[in-house]
Amino acid sequence: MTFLMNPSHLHMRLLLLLSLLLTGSPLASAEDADAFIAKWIDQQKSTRTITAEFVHTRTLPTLRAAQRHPGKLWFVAPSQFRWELGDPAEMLVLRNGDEVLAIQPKRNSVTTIDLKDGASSKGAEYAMLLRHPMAASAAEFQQQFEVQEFLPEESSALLTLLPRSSEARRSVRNLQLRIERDTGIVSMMELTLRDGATMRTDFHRVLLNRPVDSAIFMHEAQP
Amino acid sequence: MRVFRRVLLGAVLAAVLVGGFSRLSLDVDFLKLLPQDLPQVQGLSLLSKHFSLPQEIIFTVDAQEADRARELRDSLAAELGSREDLIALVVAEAPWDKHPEEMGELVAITALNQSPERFAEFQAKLTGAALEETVQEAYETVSFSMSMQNAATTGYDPFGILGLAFGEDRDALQEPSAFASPDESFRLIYATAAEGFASYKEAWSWLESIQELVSEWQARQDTPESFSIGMTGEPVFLAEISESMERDMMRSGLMTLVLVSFIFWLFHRRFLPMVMLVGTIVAAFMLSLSLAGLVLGQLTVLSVGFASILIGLSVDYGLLIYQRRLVAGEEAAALRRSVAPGILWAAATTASAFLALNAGSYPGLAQFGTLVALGILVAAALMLGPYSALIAKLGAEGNPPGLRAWPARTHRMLTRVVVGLLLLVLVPLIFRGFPKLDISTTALHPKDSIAYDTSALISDKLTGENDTLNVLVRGDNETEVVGLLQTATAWLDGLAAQGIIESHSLPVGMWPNGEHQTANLQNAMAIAADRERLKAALLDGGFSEESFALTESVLSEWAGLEESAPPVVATGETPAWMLRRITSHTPDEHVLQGIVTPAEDLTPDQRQLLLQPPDAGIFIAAFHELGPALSGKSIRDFVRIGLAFSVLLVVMLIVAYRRFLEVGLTVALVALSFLCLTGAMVGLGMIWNYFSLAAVLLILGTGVDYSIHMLFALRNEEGNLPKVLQSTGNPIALCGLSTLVGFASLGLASNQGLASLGVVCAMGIGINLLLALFVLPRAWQILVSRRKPLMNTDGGRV
Repeated sequence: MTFLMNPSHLHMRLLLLLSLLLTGSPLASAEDADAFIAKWIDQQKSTRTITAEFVHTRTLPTLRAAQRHPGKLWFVAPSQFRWELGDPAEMLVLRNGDEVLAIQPKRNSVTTIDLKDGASSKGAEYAMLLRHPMAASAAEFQQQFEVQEFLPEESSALLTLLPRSSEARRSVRNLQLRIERDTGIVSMMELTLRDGATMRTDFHRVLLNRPVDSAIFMHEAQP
Repeated sequence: MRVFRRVLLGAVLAAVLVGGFSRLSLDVDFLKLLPQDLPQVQGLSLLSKHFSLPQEIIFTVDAQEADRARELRDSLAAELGSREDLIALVVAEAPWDKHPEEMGELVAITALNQSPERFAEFQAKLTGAALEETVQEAYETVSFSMSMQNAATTGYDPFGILGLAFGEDRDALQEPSAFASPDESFRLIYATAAEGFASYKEAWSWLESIQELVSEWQARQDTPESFSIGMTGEPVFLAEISESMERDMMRSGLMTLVLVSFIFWLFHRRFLPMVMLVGTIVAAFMLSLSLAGLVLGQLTVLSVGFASILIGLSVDYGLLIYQRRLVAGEEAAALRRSVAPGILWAAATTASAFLALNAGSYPGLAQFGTLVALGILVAAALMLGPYSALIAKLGAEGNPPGLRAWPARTHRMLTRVVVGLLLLVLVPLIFRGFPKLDISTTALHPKDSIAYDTSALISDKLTGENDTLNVLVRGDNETEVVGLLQTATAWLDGLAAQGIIESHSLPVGMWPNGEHQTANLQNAMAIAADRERLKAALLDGGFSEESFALTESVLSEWAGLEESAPPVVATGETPAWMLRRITSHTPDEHVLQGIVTPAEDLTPDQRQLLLQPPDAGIFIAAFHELGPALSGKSIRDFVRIGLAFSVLLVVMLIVAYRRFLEVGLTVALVALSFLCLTGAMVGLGMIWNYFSLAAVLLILGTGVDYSIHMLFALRNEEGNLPKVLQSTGNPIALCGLSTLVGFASLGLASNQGLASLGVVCAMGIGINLLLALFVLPRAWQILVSRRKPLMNTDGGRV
């Protein structure tokens, strides 16, 4: 059991970015994981906007009870993003360009993160989190993740991934994605850490390429 | 009385030999060769002295890809760990990952090192109503933070103890860069030898066992040729360099001794005189070495070359004495009177040349020069003393004359050939200019060294193109370092603000701050006494028992310090392993080291600002900065000493010759020899380095001997060239060959600087010899003795 952890930024990277991996085109019916991933990544590039709702569940050894909260997200390519967790929102993350604001409305607390500040671990983490597309190609994806298991099901496929970075592996046990075959939507994503903590996000009411008011990406704006 | 004097002399000699040899040892630290007043050298010396662990060996695993490297690392670590007779401890991954529970002590003490104001702020968060707010804030972070790193860390540290202890640097604890390259295909294992090494031979024996272990392990792996294992660290350096030093000294000395003996036998075919000569040379070497032990104590990697040089130079005196005895048939006293002026002047000039190295900035060269000068004088004394007495009494009686006279035609022809060759070597100089100066530190290193190669590979793989610098803060006591750390931090922050550095990491919090610890300790113990209330607040706030583990560990440490007197340091195995690499405490010095990453494309002025810390107790150290620092100093040294020695040489020549024309002739030949040497170097693609530059002085001092001897002989024989060549030219040829052999044998030395010095000296000696034998007589005749042409033995002109 470790209390000096460096959990992968990849969970939230995918919490957001993999929610962007949506497509209206049917995926190939190939059972090969590589082909599946390749097609899935190709379809990311056609995504321009996303709105979605989700339920985020965290189970941590350091908390007595699991945390379950609703949330919403909005995305406009390439660099506008809004993420709300809780109702009313306990945490709000806004991105416009290279600046990210992490806001706790109840506490009137605003933290600014510069995505260009590679020397800051926080800046680096968020920069990776909010990268779109997540990988420029299937080959790059394969460089970042090792596919431990690929379970095709009738209407979806379950991918179990392990990050290749040993820094991430020190804390991440695995990452699971459930991807809808027909739409390419990531309907579930779960990150399991080495201490047994899990962070799961179930997406629903996902809408692609609909108009999004850019005002919601500004501070103090309400949807 | 005579017997008593001899017994007394024998006793003194025996005492010198025994005492000197008992003190003699080898110093493998190449930094000791360099100017000690250079801040870069001082910084690197501090780094070496305080942070090179005498029993730690670093293994490297270089594989094609990350997973394979990890598997091999784990396998090799297990193999090493299984040999408790050789290895006491193996660390293959960050110990704070493997034993996080041991980090509580480090966290606790680092927290105590913080300013009382910071500690008070922390304490205030845990007091009264503020505690509930602190817990609630932590709970929200764990539940809602988008940063998983932040959420997880806060879960295990809800009160922010890590933030108190390490501030912005808390993530640095998780940096694995000391154990793997960024792509993780290159891994490091740190192993500690089971026992210390009393001598380099023990280190060498241990290293051989380790090499055998690793070789056998590697052979058992799949595709053993697909990966490589390196080794470095103090034990490897000690074993390699010491062994090569001893080997160099023995090999070059023995080789030279054998070759000069062969040369003597080739020309004289006399066994007893050869034995006497060799015996006197060996006696001179032993006596010089023992005197060196008494006076110097430790020999550096350069000084091991003195054996072959001493042999090559001192045999000259023996050859001259023997040749004179053969030609003139004098008894001991008359023999000494004949040869003493030449030998003494030659010894004086040669010793002066080597002693002149003391005027330079390189202690290594200074010691080398002192050693050779001492040997020269001892050898001259022994040759003029017991050797000449023995030769006069035993060695030459009844022996035929020595080498034959040179036919005049032969000498004329060879002169033309030599002049042609010397003019030829000047051609590259005209078209390509003088050889360049290598300002890198390559000359300091051995030619083949696993330790150096592995060390360079580690630097390349771990830091890549980032030429990071070490920043060291040194004080006489811990309190002084505390003050200097503030100065250093402010200076580095200023450099960052100016864009001169990208970042710096100076682990100030890990330095024991007695004043802060004293101020904070009571508050810390008060917090520790409040353990149950803090735990209850966490549990009520939705946290589990697990979230209190770190806090529990730290509070226990604080409670345990009740009887301790600040400053305290962490002593557990894991914290000590980490602290040993960034802090050092010895009775007379206390040092902390950090890292600075310079910005790219710095201007010279910016680099100068970076390399000039504001206090004498702050150092910037990096091997790649050593070359530029040395180059300026080397050139200044060379010009200064060269000029001074040249003036001294001219004065000595004036005193010796008392004729300005002959002084001018000798000086002109010396200048010509230098030009020919540089031309030959350019033609062979050679360049100068810090040590081969010193060769110029040595060539000045040794090469001028031949001209001195020839000029005296020309005077004494009134221009009778055949007689000059027979009585002096032949011995000079032998002397020159033996000296050349002595220097040339250094070309095989392990140390690149010493090898280059030997080769350049050999070339210079050869050129001086040719000029003295072939050009000098003709030039003397033209310039000095117009009324006395060079004569044959039958009175005819040559």
